[in-house]
Amino acid sequence: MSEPINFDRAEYVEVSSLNCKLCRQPLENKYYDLGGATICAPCRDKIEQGRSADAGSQRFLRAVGFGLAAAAVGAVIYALIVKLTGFEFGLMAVVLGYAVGKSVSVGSYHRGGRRYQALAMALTYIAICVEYVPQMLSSVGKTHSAFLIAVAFVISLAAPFLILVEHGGSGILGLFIIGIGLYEAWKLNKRGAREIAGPFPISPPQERSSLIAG
Amino acid sequence: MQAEIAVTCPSCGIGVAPSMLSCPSCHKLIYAEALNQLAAEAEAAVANDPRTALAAWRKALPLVPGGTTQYTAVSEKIRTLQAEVDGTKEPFSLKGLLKKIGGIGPIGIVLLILSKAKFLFLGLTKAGTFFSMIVAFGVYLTIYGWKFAAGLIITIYIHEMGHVAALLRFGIPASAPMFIPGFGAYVRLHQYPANPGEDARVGLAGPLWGLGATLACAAIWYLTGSHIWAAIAQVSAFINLFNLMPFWQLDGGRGFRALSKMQRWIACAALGGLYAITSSGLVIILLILGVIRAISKDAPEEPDTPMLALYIFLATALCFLTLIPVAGIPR
Repeated sequence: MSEPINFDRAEYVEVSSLNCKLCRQPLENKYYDLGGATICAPCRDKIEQGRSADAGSQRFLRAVGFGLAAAAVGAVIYALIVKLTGFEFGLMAVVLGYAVGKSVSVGSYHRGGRRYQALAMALTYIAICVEYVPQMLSSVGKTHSAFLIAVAFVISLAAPFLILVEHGGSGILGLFIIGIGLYEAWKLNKRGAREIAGPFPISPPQERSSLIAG
Repeated sequence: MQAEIAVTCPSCGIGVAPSMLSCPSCHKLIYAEALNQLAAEAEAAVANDPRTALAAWRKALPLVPGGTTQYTAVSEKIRTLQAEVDGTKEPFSLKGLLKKIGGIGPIGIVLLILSKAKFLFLGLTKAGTFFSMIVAFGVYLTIYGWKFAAGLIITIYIHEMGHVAALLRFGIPASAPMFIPGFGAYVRLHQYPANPGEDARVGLAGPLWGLGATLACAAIWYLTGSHIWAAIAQVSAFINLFNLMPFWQLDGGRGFRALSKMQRWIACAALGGLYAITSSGLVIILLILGVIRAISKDAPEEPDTPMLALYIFLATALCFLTLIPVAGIPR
């Protein structure tokens, strides 16, 4: 019979380097918990400052910037996948919703709320619909003016509903898939989804090293 | 403002973040009591009932912090017990597998398939699976017609039951398959696989069974000449090949987790060769994602040759099956 495992204290093989999940710096005297992620005091202060009421418009602009970047990259990747495979994958709507939702959340210092939920959902919807623009442009010739691209962009936003009118069943399915992507973006920006708990005390690294196994 | 403390260290009494498994100050294991109970349960069962012992150690593993001797010891217990439950300690070999198939003969192969078919009906006894399947069938029916819709649903179902079979083999509790129109289906795990090797085997089981379903459809098309079977086979191949993307929680992503850095590059080389032969757009996407995974730093040190062989085999077979000629989907 093998020796029983001792479950009294954790026997770390190396010095347990507890690092902040955001800045990766070692934790010193205290730490905070951000929705399951361990963060240091300076990062926590930065987030709280960003979340404060005073920083409202700056924070919103930051969230718009982060969300737009994710939407742009996601839309390009989605369009490439459709071009290469000839298929539109429902899963991409979920991936886009997650990517844009997460980016808006990070940009808003995880503040959450209806404004950021609406922003995330709007950007996700645009990122999904923009996939129709190359298809529309390719059907009207090889060279396209800026005005034509702008018109194609506006029409692409109505594309899911135009498909519904034209094709019925597949249109409903398309809207359902988009709905799941939007839900993902909405969920990630709920108010209170990532509250900060703490501070929790922690002993300095040199004290922790005396507890290493072997 | 100090938020409410969810956990207190049972040794030094200080507050500990809810996500911690050990106290950062004194290293006391937060779930020591539960761990000792599970360990006692496992040791009591190990002689006569290794499956119960295995289940207890699997419950214990998420409660132990990584990078500890205890985590290594519990992982080793799981590995040993799993080998015992599987009834074999021999490493996988292609030669051994072919010898086994040759030994049972064609009748044996048919009986093996029939025994798997009996298992396939198991999922249909779950209300959630059955009703979600009906809903999905209804949606596809309005778009593609009932024949194609039925074929699509059945091939997706067989893919998911492949995952369920692998999860049952490892004793990992999971939900029955649930269908989502437009997305396919999913199985929710109630416990994570103990290591990347298990994760890969569970992940690639889906495309493996999906390949079986695809081949069956292709065979019927070949024998009957019916185009509906060609369409079902082609789309089934496409869906299973898509799932081999080495990305996130997709089956290919889980398969790649077990591959060492060198093996990931070998898989990429195979995908590159496949693209050169077939010019498949989907294979290019698999290749790009495979290269990203090969560059990343999360590759394990130890190789997993069976999973590498399986991944390459599945990608190749499914890619060629996507080339089945289909002129639209006949209703």
